[in-house]
Amino acid sequence: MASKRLIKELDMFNREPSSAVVELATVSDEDLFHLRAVLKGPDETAYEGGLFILSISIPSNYPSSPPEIYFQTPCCHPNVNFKTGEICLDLLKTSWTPAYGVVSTLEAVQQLLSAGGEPDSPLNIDLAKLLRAGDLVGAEGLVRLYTRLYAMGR
Amino acid sequence: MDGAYDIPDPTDWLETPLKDFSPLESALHCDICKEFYETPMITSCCHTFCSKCIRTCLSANGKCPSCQTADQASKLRNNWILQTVVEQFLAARPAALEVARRDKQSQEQAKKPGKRKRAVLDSDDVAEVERDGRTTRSKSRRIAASQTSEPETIEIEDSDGEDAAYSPEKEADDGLVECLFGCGKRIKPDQMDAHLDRCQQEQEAEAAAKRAKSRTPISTTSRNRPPDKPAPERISELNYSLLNDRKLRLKLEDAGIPNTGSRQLLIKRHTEWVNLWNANCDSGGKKTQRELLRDLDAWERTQGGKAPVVNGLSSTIMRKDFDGVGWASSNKDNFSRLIADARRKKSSPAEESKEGGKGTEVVDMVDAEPQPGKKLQTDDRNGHGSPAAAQQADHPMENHDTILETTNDHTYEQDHPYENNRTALSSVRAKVAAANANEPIEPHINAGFAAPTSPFSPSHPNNPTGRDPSSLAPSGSDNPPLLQQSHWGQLSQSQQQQQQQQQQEQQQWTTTTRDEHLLKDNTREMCDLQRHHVSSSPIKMPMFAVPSRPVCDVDGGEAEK
Repeated sequence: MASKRLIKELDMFNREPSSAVVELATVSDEDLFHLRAVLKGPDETAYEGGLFILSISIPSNYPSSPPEIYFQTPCCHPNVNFKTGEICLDLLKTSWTPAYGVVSTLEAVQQLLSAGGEPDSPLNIDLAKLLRAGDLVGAEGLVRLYTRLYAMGR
Repeated sequence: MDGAYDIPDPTDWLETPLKDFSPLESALHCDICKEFYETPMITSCCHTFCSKCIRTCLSANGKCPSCQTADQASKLRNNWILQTVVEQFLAARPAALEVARRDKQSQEQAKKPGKRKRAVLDSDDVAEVERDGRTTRSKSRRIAASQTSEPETIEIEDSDGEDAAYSPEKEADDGLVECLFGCGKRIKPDQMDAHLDRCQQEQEAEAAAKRAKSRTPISTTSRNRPPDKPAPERISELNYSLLNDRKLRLKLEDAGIPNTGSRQLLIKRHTEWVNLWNANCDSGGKKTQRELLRDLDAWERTQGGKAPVVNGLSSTIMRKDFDGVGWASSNKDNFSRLIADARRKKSSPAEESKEGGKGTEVVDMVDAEPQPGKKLQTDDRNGHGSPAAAQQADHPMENHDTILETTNDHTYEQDHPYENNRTALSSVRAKVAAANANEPIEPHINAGFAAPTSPFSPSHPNNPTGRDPSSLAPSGSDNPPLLQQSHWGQLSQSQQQQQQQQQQEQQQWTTTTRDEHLLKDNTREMCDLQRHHVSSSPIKMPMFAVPSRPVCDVDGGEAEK
């Protein structure tokens, strides 16, 4: 069921590309359960122009359990671990439902980027501290810097 | 689209003039498996999913996937009408799609000769659709409205099955009354009551038979449940926490499914079996038990006990995730343990040497003259206070220990501390070379202690290492041992001032250290305790200075952690 649905989702993505996801494909032809996605930094945010690579691994009982999504490109965001790329998004943990798909989840990740995140449950403590101290300019500058450093001009 | 990859998909319609069929088809898809509904079941929150999908989902977290409302599998009800719709749609789909595609092809062919507008249909919208391949929803609705021919062909199939059973009623005017229950008979009004009783019974029996047959009113599919075969009973879910392993295995055996594996696997397998079985019940027992067992085996191979262990590719991916978190936490313990071990090992021989090895090795220490290096390091530490400097400062200490232990085969450690410390190393070497060149003294002392008048005393005024004695004056209690160590026979100025009288006399005895004492102990000779006592004060400094280092070292190590 999992692979059937994944094929369907990939097929659907290829026919109707999403505005948020530039690329979504399996890492290798043999393995359907590990995907690589390229997410576009949302426009009119500090992530604008960045292209973030994400690694997605699909559990065997998908869609009963959520896919595991990690940033491979370092992403400076209060709810993203800068080093491991772990994403703190309830959709990927508790509030996952089988009605979501890979693409819709990636779109949710993009929304997480554009929404600016939740500094009260941070994975990137430094940035969250800046945000909580109200230094929005500093935080945005930091985000722009890291987006420029890692997510642009590959 | 090639045949091997022909998955029915809502987007098939997008390329045809029948674009509105795409959302229609999407609406007939289960949200969980994204396939057409298969035995759709409606939840108590009125969402509809495939029977198998929603049962799996509810057994996993007990919530409706659409609205997250808590629900139970036992509350699911069949959504028969949706099932009929899906089946009808699927039956009509290939033909409709073919017609739609043919229509598109003819449009394209018509387009090729150069007729851009009004190729086949008389709608501007459609021509526009072909040109840019996109359309707004309202436009496409208008398009669909403008070409009702294809949808009608679909509808035709739809409507013939059921209505054929009922013949249109004819009105007759013969003074009789039609049966109120609609059995079609015409009866005299006074016989009506009797007829109604009979008729009702007949009709009930008939209706029961009919209901069994016409639940899925399509005659083309093999859907019809044999009326004589009763639907299989649903299995109730078990409360696994109330069952011990043995009872659980028995339950699985009773169900006719494999009962091997861990408890967790047993529970998962039974849950899957219950879901498979009940989903089959929902569909009216389409599948035999053997087919269900095959399904369970497929589950076993993909998600159960026989599921492939994570393969190489995924392990490399996992390792990337693992690097940061796992490596730091797991290796932290190992690493700190190893450090602690190393320190313990290192500190214990140092203490041994403090007690036992002093006598013979003091001279070696002087020989090696590690002080310049050490002085550098201590300066560093005072200056920066950075952990790196502190760490570096460890090395000369280690060096000290190892110099004390020169005879104790710690050659690696002896070399090691200077690896990061080129300047200290070179300066030490220079000093050693200078010292060796000027005063090849150590062998004499070590060899014999023959003359209490040590060869040091004459060399002392010359200050062979070229250092200014005044700079070595101990200003506080922190450093003096280090400084004094470097000048074997030479006294610090303050001490000289304090003990000038004695020492001018006794300076020749400065080498009668504990070395001599020990030596005399060994030879059972009496040593001159009084003289020893007095003269030991300048000598004692290096003795204490050296053992004090390892203690320092351990502290430093703990502070690092």
